[in-house]
Amino acid sequence: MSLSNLRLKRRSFVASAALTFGAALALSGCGGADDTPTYRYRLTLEVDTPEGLKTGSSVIEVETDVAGDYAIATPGRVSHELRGEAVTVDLGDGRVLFALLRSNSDSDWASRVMFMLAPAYAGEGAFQNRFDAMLRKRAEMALPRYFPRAGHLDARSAYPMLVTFGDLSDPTSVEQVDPDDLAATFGEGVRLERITVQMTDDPVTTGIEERLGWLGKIREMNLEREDFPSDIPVGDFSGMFKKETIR
Amino acid sequence: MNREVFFSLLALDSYNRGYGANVDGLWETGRIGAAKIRPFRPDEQSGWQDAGFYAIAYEWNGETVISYRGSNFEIVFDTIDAALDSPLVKDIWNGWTVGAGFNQASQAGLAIAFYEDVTKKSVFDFGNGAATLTGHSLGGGLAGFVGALSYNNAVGFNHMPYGLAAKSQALFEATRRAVSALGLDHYTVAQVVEGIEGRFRDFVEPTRTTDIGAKSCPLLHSIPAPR
Repeated sequence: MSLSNLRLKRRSFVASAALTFGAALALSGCGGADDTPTYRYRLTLEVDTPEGLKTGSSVIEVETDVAGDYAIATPGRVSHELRGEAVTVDLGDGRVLFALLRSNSDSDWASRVMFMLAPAYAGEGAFQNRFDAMLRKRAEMALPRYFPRAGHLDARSAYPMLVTFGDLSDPTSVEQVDPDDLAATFGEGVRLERITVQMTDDPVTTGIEERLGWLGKIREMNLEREDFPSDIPVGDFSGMFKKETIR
Repeated sequence: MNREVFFSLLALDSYNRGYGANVDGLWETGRIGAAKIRPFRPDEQSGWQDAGFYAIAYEWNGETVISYRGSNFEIVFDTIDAALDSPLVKDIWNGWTVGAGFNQASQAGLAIAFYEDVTKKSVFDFGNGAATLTGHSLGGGLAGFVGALSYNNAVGFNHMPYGLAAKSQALFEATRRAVSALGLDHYTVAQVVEGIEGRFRDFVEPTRTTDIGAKSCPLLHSIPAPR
């Protein structure tokens, strides 16, 4: 049997699989392609130091998809893809502060922060109205320290997770940094001034792998969970620093 | 709590953890009921979001349970041909080739890899009871797929068909072992399959069975693992 015949048999299987969703097939044409726009924003950190203000920024791109009313398994589900990397701020003496693509509580922080800053709407079309309002806001915005309490959720940090490394070549030397007390990590006189975001058309920032050579190679290093601090999520460790889910 | 009911909660839980979680505020650590979440290894989730894949494992009363998340797919097709090109097909069972089995970056490949990471056993190490698989929709299909390959129990909820995918992957593994055992290393698996007319026809006939016991892998049973 030739390879092409094997592929044909596989298509027959797929046809059979499609038929098992007979009821779903009856709902033909009820989904439709999602046309939610892709956008970019610049994330900037400003840090006061005894040597003056230090800044770093990164342009991040977000693609948002909204599932149709008849999507399976979760109609109306909002999903994101991201392209971008963490912000790096050089503080001198080899010390580097990183603002990750996630917050302490939300692994999708970088995909949602701009939307979360837009005014909330109610009623039909609430999501689309809020999304449109987000796109219209082009001015620089300073992040609040916390997002308001919502439903069962207490007020959550609106800041990205901040970390530094004792040794940039050793991923296990990662250390979380308290945004309210940078001095505890970097010494007296170092203080987070503010974190801002702003819509932009600038190209997505690249190059962090030149500073963090182990990015994407963690699995080859045969490291275990216990090698990292317990307060650092590690399941997608490299993904906290760089994502390219948008191709 | 009824065992199947609890599995339904674990199947649901995979939608609420990690990237793209349906519910805010749930970490990838801690517990759900009596099930303790197995900690992820560093970068264990590498490539998952690219593939739209997610899974999570638990220890529940001495039993290892793996819950696979189902991807969303749109009902945008109105013909069978269009259905074949739907996200359903592309997300799930794409990536299989005669020469290499399921691509390691495909959902099926990642489902196998996570099973092996969690259990520290090959998916072809039969009947070891290493884990129980569960999932909803596509996730249920992945659970059945891995369960069929590994002879482990799987509990699927509105799950996708998986039988032919499991047979196809078993076919690839059997052929790979045969090629190695017979010292035919100068041939590729694809070349061996192409050279045998009709023998694999019975293996790849379409089937509607969703029987978890896809145990008819005679080639795999009779050929020992390569040393």
